[in-house]
Amino acid sequence: MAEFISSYGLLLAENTVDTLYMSLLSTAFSYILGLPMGVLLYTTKEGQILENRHFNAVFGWVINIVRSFPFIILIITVMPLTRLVIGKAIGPTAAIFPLTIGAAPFVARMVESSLEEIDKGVIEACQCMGAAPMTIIRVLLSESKPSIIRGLSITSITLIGYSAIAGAVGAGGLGDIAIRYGYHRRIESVMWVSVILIIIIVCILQTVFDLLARKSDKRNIL
Amino acid sequence: MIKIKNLSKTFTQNGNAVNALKNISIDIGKGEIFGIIGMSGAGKSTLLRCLRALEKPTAGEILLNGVSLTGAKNGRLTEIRRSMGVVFQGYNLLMQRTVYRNIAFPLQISGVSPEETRQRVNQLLKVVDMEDKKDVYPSQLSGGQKQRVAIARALATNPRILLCDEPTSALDPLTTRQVLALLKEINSKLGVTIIIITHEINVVKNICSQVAVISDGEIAETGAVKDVFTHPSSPVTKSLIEWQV
Repeated sequence: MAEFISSYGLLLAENTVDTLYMSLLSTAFSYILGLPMGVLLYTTKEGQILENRHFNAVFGWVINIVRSFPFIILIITVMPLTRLVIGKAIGPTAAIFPLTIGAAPFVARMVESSLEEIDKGVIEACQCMGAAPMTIIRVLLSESKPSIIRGLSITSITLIGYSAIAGAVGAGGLGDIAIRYGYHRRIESVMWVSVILIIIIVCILQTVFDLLARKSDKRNIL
Repeated sequence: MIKIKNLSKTFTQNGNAVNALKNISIDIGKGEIFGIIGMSGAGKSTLLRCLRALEKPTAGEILLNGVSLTGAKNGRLTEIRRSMGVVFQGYNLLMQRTVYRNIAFPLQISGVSPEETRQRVNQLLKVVDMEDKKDVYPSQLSGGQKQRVAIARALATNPRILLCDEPTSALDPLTTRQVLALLKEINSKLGVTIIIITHEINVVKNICSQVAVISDGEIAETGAVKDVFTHPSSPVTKSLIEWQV
C-alpha cells in the first residue's frame, strides 16, 4: 500500500487534477457556446418567437454533423485550429479546445430539449403582455433552469469520459493513465485506482448538480 | 368599445381551405361582460386570437375604440396588446416565480418603477384576496388560487379590457363560482370590459349581460343573455341549453 502510494500517488493526484481541469473547463466553455446555440435552435423553430425555417434547418444540420464526428477524429481534425487558438496541440490545456467544440452542439441539443419542456402557454402569456423576444428568452431560461442544471451534470460527466479519449493526444488525465498504465503496461492496480477515482468524481458531480437542480426547482414544493 | 366587422379567417390545411370564421360581426360596449359561447371547434379560439392581434384575419376588421387592430404596426401592436389583459384556461403562470413576482412581471416589462410596481402589486393582491400568498410559488396553490393570481397579473397594467379564454373550464363548480364573482366585482368596481370565451352555459348565465353564440365559424345568435336563453332561436343555442342543465 505504502509502496503503491510512493510510486504512483503523485501520478494519480496530478492526473486527477488534469481530469477535473479538462472536464470542468470544457463544460464551462461548451455552455458559453452551446447555450446561445440551443436558444437559437429553439426560438427559430416554426411558430416560435424568432421563426426562421431556413436558418433553423441549416443550423440543425451543422449541429448534427459536428455531433456525428467520432471524438478521436474530431480531435485530429481540429488540431490545426487548436494550435491556432491555444498555441499548442498537445496537453490538457490543448484538449479543452476539441472537448469544447465536441460538446457545444451536444449542449445545444440539451438546452433545446430543456426549453421544449416549458408550456407553450407561458410564451403566449408573455406575448400578450407585449414582452420583447429578449424578455421571453430570459423567461424561458429561468423557467427551465432546473432542467438546464440537470443537463449540466450530464454534460460534465460525459466530458470526463471524452477527456479519457483526449489522452490519446497526450492530454493526460485519469482515463489516460488507466489505459497507458493499466491496459498497455498491465499495472492493474493503477487502472483500478484510476477507475475508482473517476467513479468518485462522477458521484460527487451528480450529487452536487442534483442538489442544485432540486433547490432551484419551485414546481414541486408543497 | 370593440367593434368586430365582417370578420373572416380562412386557414389552408393540407391544401384545403378551412373557414374558421365566417363574416362575424359583434359590438361590445364599454363596461359590459360579454360572453362568447360555442362548442369546441366552433371558432372561439380563432376569434380570440384575432382579438389579441396574434392572428391576422383574412377579411374584415376589428376596431378598438375606433382604431383598427388589423392595420396596426409592431410598436402600436405592443401598445394594443398591453391595453388588453388576458386570462387563460391553463393559467400560464411562471412556475419558477413567486405569486408576487408573477403579478409584477407585466409591470417590469412595461418599464414601471420598482416603487410603483410594489404599490400596484400589493393593491392587486388585495383585489384578488391573495395577500397571504404573495411569497409562495404557483405549484403550492389550488386551481382557483392560481386563476386569481392570473387575473391579478392580467389587471396589472390597468387594461380597459379583460379577455378570458375558458377561465373556469379547469375548475370545480364552487371555485368556478368564486372566480366568476371576482370577475364580476372587477367589472363593477374597476369598470373593466370583460369578454369571456366559454363552452359552459352556466358561466354566461351567471355573469354575462350580452352573449354571442358561435357555431361552425358563424354567429348563430346574439343579444342580451336573458333574451337569448329564454327564447333561443337557433338549434345550437337550444342544444347548448339541453346539454348543460
